[in-house]
Amino acid sequence: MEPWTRRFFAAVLIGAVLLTGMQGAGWLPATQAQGPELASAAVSGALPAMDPASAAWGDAAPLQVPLSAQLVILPTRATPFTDSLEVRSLNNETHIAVRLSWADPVKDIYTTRQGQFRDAVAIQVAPRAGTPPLCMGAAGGGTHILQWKADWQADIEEGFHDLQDEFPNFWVDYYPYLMGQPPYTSPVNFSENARLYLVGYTVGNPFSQPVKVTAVEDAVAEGFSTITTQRQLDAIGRGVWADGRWSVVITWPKDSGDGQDVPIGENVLAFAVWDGASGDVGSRKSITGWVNLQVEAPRGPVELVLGVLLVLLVAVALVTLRSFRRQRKEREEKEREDEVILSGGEAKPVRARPPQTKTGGKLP
Amino acid sequence: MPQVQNWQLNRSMDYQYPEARPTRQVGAVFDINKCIACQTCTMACKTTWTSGKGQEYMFWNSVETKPWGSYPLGWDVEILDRQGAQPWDTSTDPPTFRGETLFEKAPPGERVEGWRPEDEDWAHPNRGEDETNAPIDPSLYHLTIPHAIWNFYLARICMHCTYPACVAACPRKAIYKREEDGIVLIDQERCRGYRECVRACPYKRSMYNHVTRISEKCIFCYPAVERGIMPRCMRNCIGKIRMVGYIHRPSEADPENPMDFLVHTKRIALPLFPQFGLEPNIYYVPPINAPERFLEQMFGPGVAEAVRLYNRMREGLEPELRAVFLLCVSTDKILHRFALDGSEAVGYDGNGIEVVRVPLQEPAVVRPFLDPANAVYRHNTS
Amino acid sequence: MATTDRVVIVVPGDHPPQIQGSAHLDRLKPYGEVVLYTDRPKSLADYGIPESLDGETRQVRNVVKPWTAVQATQHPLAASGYQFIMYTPKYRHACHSMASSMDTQMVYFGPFGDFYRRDKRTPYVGEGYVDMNPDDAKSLGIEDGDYIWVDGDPQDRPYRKMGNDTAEDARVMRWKVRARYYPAMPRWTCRAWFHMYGATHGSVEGHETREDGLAKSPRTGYQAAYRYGSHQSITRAWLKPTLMTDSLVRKDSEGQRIGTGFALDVHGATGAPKESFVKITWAEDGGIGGVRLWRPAARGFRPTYESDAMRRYLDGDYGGG
Repeated sequence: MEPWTRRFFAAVLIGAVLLTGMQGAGWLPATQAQGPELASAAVSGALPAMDPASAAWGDAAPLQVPLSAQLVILPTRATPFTDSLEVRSLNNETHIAVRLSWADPVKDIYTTRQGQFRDAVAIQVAPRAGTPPLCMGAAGGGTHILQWKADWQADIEEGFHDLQDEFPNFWVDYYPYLMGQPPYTSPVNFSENARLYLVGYTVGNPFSQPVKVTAVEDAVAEGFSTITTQRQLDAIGRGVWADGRWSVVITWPKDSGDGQDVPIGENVLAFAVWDGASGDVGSRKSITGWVNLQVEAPRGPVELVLGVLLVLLVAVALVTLRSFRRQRKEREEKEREDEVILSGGEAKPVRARPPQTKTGGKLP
Repeated sequence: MPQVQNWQLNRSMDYQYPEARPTRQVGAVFDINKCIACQTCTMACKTTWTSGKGQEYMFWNSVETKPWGSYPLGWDVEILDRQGAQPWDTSTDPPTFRGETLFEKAPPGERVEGWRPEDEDWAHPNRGEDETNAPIDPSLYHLTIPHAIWNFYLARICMHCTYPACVAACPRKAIYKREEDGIVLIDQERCRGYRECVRACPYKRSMYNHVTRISEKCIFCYPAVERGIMPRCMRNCIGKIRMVGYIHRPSEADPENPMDFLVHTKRIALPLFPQFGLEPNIYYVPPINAPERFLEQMFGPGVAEAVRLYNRMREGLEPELRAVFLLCVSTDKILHRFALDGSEAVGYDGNGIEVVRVPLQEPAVVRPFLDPANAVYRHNTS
Repeated sequence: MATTDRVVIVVPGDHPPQIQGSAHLDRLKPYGEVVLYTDRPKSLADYGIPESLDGETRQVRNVVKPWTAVQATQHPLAASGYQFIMYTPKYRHACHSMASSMDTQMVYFGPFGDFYRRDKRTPYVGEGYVDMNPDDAKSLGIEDGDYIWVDGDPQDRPYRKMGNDTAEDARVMRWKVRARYYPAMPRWTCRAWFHMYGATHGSVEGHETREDGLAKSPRTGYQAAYRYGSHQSITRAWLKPTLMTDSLVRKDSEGQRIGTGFALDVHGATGAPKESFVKITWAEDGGIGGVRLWRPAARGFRPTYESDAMRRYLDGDYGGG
């Protein structure tokens, strides 16, 4: 092989490896973005579902989504709580995880006193085709809503935040049908008759269950006022508050099989944030618009090798073709030189000639 | 914003939802002149419904002394101050409210003017008990009506309003008004503890449960009402101040229905703070001992006439009124009709069956001082 | 008739001046004597009773004095700062003559009920209190909701000094209680309802050692509605001034016969309701943890502390009339 060929081949090869490597590292976008788009990077293995601080989140491209105050349905808040929300996403074969981070100077994690409201964040999932209205969908076009709540998480991490945790000096002589001594752990100490007085708990209201199995409510909505907790809770989540900032991960199955969930494929997402200290709850919230969700298929080592091989193959093909052309050109030049020598030494200008067929053609 | 008709204001007004009155509206009349603040009603309700964990501070029925008492702290002063004094036009009969209701005065971003009490505001429920409006002044004569120095007792439950602020305020419609009797309930499965109702109710009858983290309120003992029985707070009233029944609009008032008779025919029973615009369904006979100006702030422009009528009754000039008042808590059945049968008041249940009969004058027998058979004098001491 | 609680009858020939206007409100002046109407007066000497002014003797000694002399007397404790006639009657929140302190009842008994006991000093979910005229309280530097000391005649209140009493007994039994502004209290009288369970050594131990400060005995669970002492710290049974009148003509206690000699309701000691002559001094601020005003006063909803809105409300200004 000629030296120039080797150089060319090496350049192509190095370039291919570099490009592939950069794409794999996420330093280059997979495709060109149009409007806000959240790229969910693929990983192999487990997602950092319980760890917003995991280094794995560095692999996910962050998207800053601006927040505005919810102003469509009363009651409202006048201005958004904070300017924007940072969103990242990772996914694996079966699940998708979204990490949300926003500035919140005060950590609000209890709802025991009537003046306490808790911090929360929600993801609204909808199909990209036939996207329902942004404000929680509409009749016939529902949305899938996953709301992480700081007080549900506190119940899990600290144990149920009960009456005595806010009012340590409270006293009652007697709760009907209750045995034992104050402060009476809810609801373990409560017999069936005693639970008649914990009405929310007895009728199964998820907000009234002292034992929480997840900090994320899996819900559906078909327009304002309609949000309803699903029968099957498929999502988990965890938030960490540090230095005036919440970082919350919400993870759920791409296809749970639950008819009330929206499967992950071609989706749009929207987000909402509640600040307990401002008295946010329900419609008093800060919201975003829709964001396209671009889920990268997961890339394993096999794919990487195949990808590199493909690039090499193309490079080799290109080089081979070029080499072939060169060789033919050299052959033609040599033939012309031979002609000159044979015709008595006068060098005539070499001109590109149409290719001679083997059957026809004539010598000049 | 839908327009609804509020007969207590004699005009239409803004409301969150279109007018949709229930088939029947349950209600009650409390005669303040007879309330002695024994708190039997309070304890009857407390032991029945709010004796659980998380409910300690709740008193769905409460009785406070006016003017210094309030549960929660300053509930009426706070909302009156936010609404501000609002004008009535007394040139019409009935008077017309020309001011802005709490719905019409909703601040930007809100559905209704309101405020959310602090936890501490619910403490000390019987603060102000028996206190008079001012120190006793011995230079004044204290045996006139109205009293120179006064107080009275205001017993309160949920008003089961025709246009509840709680129903309007809940953004997810977790509160509803029953079609069959107008009782307002918070759906315990649907409530998510937003506490918009706690903020919105001007009477502060919606209460947040610290343990279940959703809100609760007076249910008008609907399981009893469905069987024709009065709520616990009503039928345990020692002073027999309460009449329970079904109230109609003025155009459909039936003078043989005790509620319609007291509220529409005689106009002796008045709504509490009608100027809020909720068309509350618990009505009060104003106390004849308190000053008219304070009472008008509380019950609207009909006070003077109601007090005049009550005094006529005390003079024996209103036998039908007397009959209805004597039927108060004379039975535990809800009365749908009453009649004056000679010298007896008669009450009938929903099936038209006579369930109680009360003499207008309690029979009294006076025995002769001397008992000749035993040659002793009869004394009422041993 | 004057609005004082004492009935003063004098020997014929001497008449007390008619009390005009409100002069009697300037100062309730407890006189030093108890007198009876009679036209056959006997003296203390006739009965062999000394001219002592001690609390026990004063209940039954009957002297003969003209009104002008009675008018000049003064209660022997007045010089020590004793000013108030206190009475301890019965109320609507408990049964007629029974002591009772239960949670739902005590939360509604008076103004200091709080199931959550935000002020840990409160002995229970409610507590006993003393109703005072606001002007009287202010003159002593006492705010609505403050804790006060109420002391009775030290000769035998809170208890007669026996050989085996200790400083601890005095600490447990000296009455510390909430003051409550009550506009209708006549000047220089005060009132404490008599139903609340009093403090005991056990309840005080609970109050001072329990994390939550409940005045509940650690051994028996007995629950007091006072931190220290009780209304009984200042009251006692009284002997009747008729004690010495065996020849007094009177009706029998039961029946209609008229006679002389001892009759229970004429000559027996008076147990209840009790009143007493007391001294009141400020002890602690009413705000949570002893800091400044208790919240309803600070928020402008208590008599003499009313906010502008409360004043407008009292005047009916929000009625639009």
